[in-house]
Amino acid sequence: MDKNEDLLVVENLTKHFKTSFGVVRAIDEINFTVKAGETFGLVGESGSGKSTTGYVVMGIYTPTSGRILFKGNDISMHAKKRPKYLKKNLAIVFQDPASSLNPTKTVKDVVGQPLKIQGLAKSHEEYDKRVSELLDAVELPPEDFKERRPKDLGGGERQAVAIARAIATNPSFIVLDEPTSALDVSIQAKIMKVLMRLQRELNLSYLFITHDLSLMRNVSSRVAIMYLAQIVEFAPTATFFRNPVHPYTQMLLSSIPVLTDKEEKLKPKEIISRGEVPSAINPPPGCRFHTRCSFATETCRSKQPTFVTVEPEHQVACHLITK
Amino acid sequence: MQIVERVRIIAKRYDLKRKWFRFSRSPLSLVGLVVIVAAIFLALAAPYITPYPREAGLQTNLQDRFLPPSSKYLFGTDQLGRDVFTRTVFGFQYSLMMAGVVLLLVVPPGIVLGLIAGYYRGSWIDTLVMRISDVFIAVPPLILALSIASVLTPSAFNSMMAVSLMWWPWYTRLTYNAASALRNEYFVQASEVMGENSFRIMFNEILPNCLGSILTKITLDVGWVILLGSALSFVGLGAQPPTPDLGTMVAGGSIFLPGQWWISMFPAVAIIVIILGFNLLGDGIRDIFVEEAR
Amino acid sequence: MEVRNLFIGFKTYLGKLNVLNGVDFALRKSEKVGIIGESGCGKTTTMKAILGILASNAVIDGGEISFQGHEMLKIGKKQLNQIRRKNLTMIFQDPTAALNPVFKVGEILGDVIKYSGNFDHEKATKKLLREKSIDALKEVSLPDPERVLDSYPFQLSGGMRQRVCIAMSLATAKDLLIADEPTTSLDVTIQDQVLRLMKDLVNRKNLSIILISHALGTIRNTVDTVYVMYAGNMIESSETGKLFSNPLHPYTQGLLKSVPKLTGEGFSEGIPGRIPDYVNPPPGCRFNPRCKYAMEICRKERPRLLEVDADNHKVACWLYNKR
Repeated sequence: MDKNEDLLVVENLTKHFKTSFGVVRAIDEINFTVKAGETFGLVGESGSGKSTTGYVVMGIYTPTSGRILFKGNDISMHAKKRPKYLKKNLAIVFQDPASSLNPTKTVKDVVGQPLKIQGLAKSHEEYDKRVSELLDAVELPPEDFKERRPKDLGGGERQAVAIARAIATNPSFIVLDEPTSALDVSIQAKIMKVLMRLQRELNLSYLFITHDLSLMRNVSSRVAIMYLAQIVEFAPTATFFRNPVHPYTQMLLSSIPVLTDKEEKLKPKEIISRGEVPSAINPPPGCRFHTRCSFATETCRSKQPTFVTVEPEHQVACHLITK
Repeated sequence: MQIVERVRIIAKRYDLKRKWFRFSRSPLSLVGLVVIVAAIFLALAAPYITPYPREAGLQTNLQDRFLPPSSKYLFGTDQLGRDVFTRTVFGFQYSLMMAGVVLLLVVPPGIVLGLIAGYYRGSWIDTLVMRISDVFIAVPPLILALSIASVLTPSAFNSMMAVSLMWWPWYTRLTYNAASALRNEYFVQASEVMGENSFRIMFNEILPNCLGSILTKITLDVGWVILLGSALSFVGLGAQPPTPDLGTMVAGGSIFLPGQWWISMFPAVAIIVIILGFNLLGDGIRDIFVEEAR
Repeated sequence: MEVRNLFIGFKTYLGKLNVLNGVDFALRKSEKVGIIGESGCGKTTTMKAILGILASNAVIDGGEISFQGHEMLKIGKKQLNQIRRKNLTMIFQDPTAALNPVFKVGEILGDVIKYSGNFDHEKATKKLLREKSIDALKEVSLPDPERVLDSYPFQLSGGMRQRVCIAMSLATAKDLLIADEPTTSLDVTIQDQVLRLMKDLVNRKNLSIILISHALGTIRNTVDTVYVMYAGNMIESSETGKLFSNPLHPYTQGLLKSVPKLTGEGFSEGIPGRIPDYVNPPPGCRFNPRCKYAMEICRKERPRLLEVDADNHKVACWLYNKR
């Protein structure tokens, strides 16, 4: 695929869950595209629907409505119903390294599982060789790690194993759901470097989901901010950090704990965070952020905002912004 | 040397060193292990180590009836002059065999049903399997076993069938609980997303993680099954004389209490020893599989 | 409080884990101290030692902990309990695990206040306890305290639960508050609120606080003095601003470089290697296998935490200690 062609297109995607407390509206009509070779960042806090989006794209959940297109193919269904040859192309790395690896298996089994499923290794030697290659690619010396079990590994090593598993079938697209939030800072840097290198070497596209804006700043080319099941702002990364427009985005940015004074100057000063995320079962009417927004007006409380283009490729859903 | 290598490979594959460490930390578990190993040894070696093996069968010895424990008859003789010690040792053999057969019949189907119901949790398969097992569980075990055993002609085989029929749902329920909890773990989702077929997921991914509770339950169940079997024999519905079933022996000797106490007492103690041994062993096995926080 | 040369190990099937390797740590009245360390460095072990809640397989190999004149490692259970009731309190990382799910918040909070030893609990009527509980909740800015008291923990959000835990700790006046990663499980905007709250309360009530975190930004904004911990040793300590602007120990430097910055500089290499094996820790300075400046003496003798310049900036490193 050529760079900059649309690899993944998400159209009007909605996902609701029926629970005993009511219908949880996890995702409500979101639209975005991920281009070949890029890292698309999805940012949000708990309840925003960002992880659910990743899961629906992977087929762990069936969409309630809307479409997902991958390389032109419609994949808007549960993974079990998707054709096998397509499954090779998509992979996911989960947030919690401890539970994303089967504790009773060895590293070799875990990393080699996709090879077995897709029938990619014709003999024991080939299988062995490929597993070693994959472990090398994530900087885990194969001889040391092949026979170990997840319980003996540190968080960073487990995550590296999960990444090795993800790239086993040579996918073109990987969903990374908070891949480093459970890790220590020094290990986070190492894993991120591995991910960046793999992206270059294997020409991968990433859907990078996180709540950490400092991380996002250094990893993605385009960013979308989610709040309570909707996308509220879209922009290329540099533009976004230079000129955050939506009140929620500004609140998010001003809450980030930073380490240097240089960074402090980059943060918007005006908005101190307040309030809690409302329930996803009964989201507030109109603009969902109005309950916490210091600038909320009557319109905000009753009408849903539509997207307005502020700059090239920079769009916001907020009543207060006019062209 | 080859054998040593083989053992080492197996130990690594199944992480045996760590498991042994966790097991052996509790001295009671080790006691349980010793008791059970001894019981199994007795069961296997019964014909070779007892002084009067034929008295475990049809042979009687009427002139030596009701003799108290002595050096000739370690546990004394019963109402037909048979050596109680020999019959007790053979009783181990019989009881352990019965427990083995019942569990062999009950555990595999129970686990399979539980895995399937757990994996398809929320669907009609789940409802079907679990409601059927609920029905079996709802009937008090002894009543069910007694009803079945009394309808069929009393025999060892029929009592084993009766016990099996009411035992299987417990394994289904146990496996169902474990499987449905694991079903939503990330590593299961990962397998599904990769395209692994459902049966492989159930047996290769989920089942190994349920083994802890299943194995623990099996060891504890041996005691229970033997007890239930003995209860059935006690009321005459299980093994028939002259089979040296421990329950039958306790029953048969109970009319001679307290005068010729040894006829009931030693088989009763044997029952207690087996059950206690398996319970302690079960505790140890549970310790192996308790998840550590880190 | 003073911790002097503390050595603690744990007996496991792999052998003995020699975790704490001579920890030196001091805290004055009303001082706010932070401990930065990655997972496995021993910070939680140190705190558990202070509170006397170490696991049964823990072995104290040496050292002392003195708190307000008491030798915490030597006093009897009764005295320890009294100190725990009146002078020490701890906030744990996971608010969900810290609150018993079968009790309503009102019951939990009421019990804590009733048995805090602050007043004669014979006189504690239900009404009095409820009043005090409401006061405590108001102090942590929980909206609608009456409703919160009548709720079960699962009915509250993560941020609210953590605020309840903070209320519980502060309701019964203490001298020292130990907070172990109190905001790590919370969303960034809520984290910001909760930290501000804690800082404010600590200032008002003149408490001393030990704040433990692996999130450097959190520490920077909240405490005055920082200790950096690595593999069972305190390797650097100084006034907060100075540590972040002028880190001396190579580990601290590596750590600060690993944090992704809002300025968008990309990712550093992290710190090569991994935390040492506690069964066979490296002799001398435990960081030496990963340190690019390692010298002969680093492999032989452990450096002590000594002052480097007049500003109370201490480092445990042979690059700075006079020899």
